[in-house]
Amino acid sequence: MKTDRSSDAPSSASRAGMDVSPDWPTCWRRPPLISDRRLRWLLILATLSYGLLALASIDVNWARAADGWERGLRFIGGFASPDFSSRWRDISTGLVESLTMTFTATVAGILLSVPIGIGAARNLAPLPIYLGCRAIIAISRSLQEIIVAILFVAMVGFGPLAGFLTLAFATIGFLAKLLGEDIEEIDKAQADAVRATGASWWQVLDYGVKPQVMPRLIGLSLYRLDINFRESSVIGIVGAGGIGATLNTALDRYEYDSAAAILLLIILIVLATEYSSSWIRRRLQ
Amino acid sequence: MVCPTTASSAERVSPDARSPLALRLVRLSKRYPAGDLALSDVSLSVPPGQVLGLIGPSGAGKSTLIRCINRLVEPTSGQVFLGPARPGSPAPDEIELSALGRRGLRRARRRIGMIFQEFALVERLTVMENVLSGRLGYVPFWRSWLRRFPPADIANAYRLLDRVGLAEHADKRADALSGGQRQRVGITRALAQEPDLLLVDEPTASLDPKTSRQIMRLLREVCAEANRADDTGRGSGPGSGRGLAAIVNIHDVALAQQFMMRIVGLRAGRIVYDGPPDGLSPEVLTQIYGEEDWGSTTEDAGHSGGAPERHPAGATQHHPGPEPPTDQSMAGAL
Amino acid sequence: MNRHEPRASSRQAVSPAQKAAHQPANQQPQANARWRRHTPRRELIGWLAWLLLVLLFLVCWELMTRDQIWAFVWDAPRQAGDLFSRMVPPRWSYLDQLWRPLWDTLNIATLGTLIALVIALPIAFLAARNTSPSVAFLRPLALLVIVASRSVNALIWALLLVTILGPGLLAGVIAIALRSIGFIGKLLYEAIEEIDPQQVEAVRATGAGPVQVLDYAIMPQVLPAFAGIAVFRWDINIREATVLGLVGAGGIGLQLKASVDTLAWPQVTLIFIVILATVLVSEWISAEARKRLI
Repeated sequence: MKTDRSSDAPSSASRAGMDVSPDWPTCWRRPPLISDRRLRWLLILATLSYGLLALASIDVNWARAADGWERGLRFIGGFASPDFSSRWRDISTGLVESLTMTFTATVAGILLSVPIGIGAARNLAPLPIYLGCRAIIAISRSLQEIIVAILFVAMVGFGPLAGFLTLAFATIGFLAKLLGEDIEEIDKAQADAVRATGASWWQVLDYGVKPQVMPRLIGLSLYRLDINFRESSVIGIVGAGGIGATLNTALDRYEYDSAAAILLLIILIVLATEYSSSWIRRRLQ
Repeated sequence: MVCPTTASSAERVSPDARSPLALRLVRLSKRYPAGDLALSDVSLSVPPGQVLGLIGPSGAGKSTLIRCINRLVEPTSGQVFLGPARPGSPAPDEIELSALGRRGLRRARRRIGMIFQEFALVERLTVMENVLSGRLGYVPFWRSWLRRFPPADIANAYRLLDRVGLAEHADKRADALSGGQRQRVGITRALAQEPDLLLVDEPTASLDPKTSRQIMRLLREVCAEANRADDTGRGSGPGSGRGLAAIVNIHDVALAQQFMMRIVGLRAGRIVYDGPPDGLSPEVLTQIYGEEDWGSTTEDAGHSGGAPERHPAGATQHHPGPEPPTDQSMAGAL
Repeated sequence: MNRHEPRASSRQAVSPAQKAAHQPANQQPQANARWRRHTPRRELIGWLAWLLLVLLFLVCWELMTRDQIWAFVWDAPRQAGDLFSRMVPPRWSYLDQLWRPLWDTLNIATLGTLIALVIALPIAFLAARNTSPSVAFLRPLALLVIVASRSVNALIWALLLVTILGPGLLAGVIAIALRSIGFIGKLLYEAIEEIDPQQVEAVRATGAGPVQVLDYAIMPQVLPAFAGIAVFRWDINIREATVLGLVGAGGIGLQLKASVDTLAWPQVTLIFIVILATVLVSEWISAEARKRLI
């Protein structure tokens, strides 16, 4: 064993204390992250110049921004005195739409994600299925919810059904990807042990894989519930139902106190779902 | 808070009052917020240079005891005294660790090196940074921030690394090392503090038997070397040396018997044995580890086996026929 | 070892099969021919939970589709076909006008992420239970900032900022930053709470001061997580920045909105393709960078 040096090292030669023989180096620098000096400087230079160019690309219309100052103050004032009552009918319909489509879309998304996630795990699925599932995931992940919502609104018309389809589709990209990666990272020995008993593919899935990924899948699903609610508040902007439409209208009419009320409600609901889902996740572990 | 009888009982532990102790614990108790009493009335004196092994079943309070000394765990009551900084200097230099404020505690901690079971190296820092972190209490903040330590510290770090055989690994990240190597870095970090006391928490629990022995031998050697630096007496017997004292939590009785000068047995937060390693008779071990944890062994030793009946029926199934390895290693030690 | 983790309460809406096998406490030592995973009571509760879940789904579905005009839905395949026929082929010549918005999009994402990083780092340390200087007061405050930032989508922030600052990149940058603070802050404070306390203990035991402990024991442990989170969020921000233009906050979304509004579907297709390519490239960069960091 190479590491067993101390046992052979002479134990009497060195003395404790601060008198240090001069042959030990007295200077030490942490080895740099990038060892090549020229590459290091090149990267620093490139980063700096990009930063300058990027900053230069933002041209601010200061006159317009100064105009907006007063509106900004009014909006902050709106948070101090949020107006729940005058638009309560719109707000409550929006909230019910948001909540129902969040829940249904999450359930539907989970049901779709599980088979696709299993298909996206290289250690379980054959190559063609793997590639197919990965393609679905890639499309779902790279298309913004808003863009998907635009397309679904064009197909099924305005309303929460378009939102439901959008969120369910977006859930696939999130859940199936993470589930697939989880399955790929499972402890192979456990699955092999089940396989060694002569278990079929389904039995391996049930006994060797499921116990390992289930806690995390539940956690991720609850997390996705949070995300879906938050997303449900924006897709209304393009007409896919939910509280977002109400918010958009309020802002269009410069009704900052109603807008503030809606934002506060969104934050409160997110807080509530987050707390309850983290509570459930803790109980599961 | 300590009555006079306590002080005299502590003195009784060390009859030679003139020789300053490296460490003195007086009626130390720790009760965790959950309510369990981890330590109760532990009094202990450790002379300089003594390597003391602390044995006992898990949950006996070994780790708590060690952490109460440098107050990583705050003791509930009792006192901890750290001996004078320079061995041989008069006793009034002794400081009461348990009474120090935050700054004073940091100062005192510099003199107490700690070595951990899981090595507790900062894994993503280089070996050298880990060793130099032993100097953090001595250098101003800006030096540690820029990693510009005083030349003497760096030279000393290299010397210590060479001593434990890791000089060429100085620039490696700590997580690139093997378990034995990491523990050596842990020892080096503690030595870089130039401590007067080493607190060693299960140093070998994460190591294989061979590496464990090497680490224990290294520990004994570095303590002995520190003794020689201050003391002219070469063949210093157990307890008579001066300088680096160590308290070693250890669960392996055989290892403890081979490498420790003195053994203290802890059970349920109380000291039940204090004496030389060869005094660990089967009766003493039973007293330390109790009947419950040593099911079949205690029955073999001829003890009345009332314990198993107190357990639910399932519990005895954990110890089927063949003896677990710890039993065997203990049997070898007997 | 995972098998023993999900020690679920029977009250939750979880499959009974998820719960690991625990021997009931009153199990007899003699041979038991009828092995059941759970007590009958627990099984019943499990089934009831499932039933409740299904009922909830149905109720929600009913509420949601109350005002749905189903004719539109039955018409959807035809609509989709129609849309598709108008979307292809993409108008490739439009690409020339997309480079500048694309550059803007990249800048919005990058600058927004950078600003968020600077603000989120101290907030995360305030929010983490093991580093917060005051658990009673500052920690809830930091958590509130994180939650408020997280619950509001970047697009909504942009909507607000555009009404305040006027349309342009600045609104986009700030919107991205405001949304990212919560995300980065949350992941980071969770990473801080998960650090190995022994390493901290070890550095503290050497007599190091609190800032030195931060520098030597905590930062080295969270730095990889920090970098990973930053790159991850940058990748998400690229995606978010592509649509900020829909509400006027700059980037390629402006072109998207203009094209959708004028029903220039071949241009929309091209923009989708460009967005898709950008997102894939940024995702690849982010994945590679994170792989190196580990």
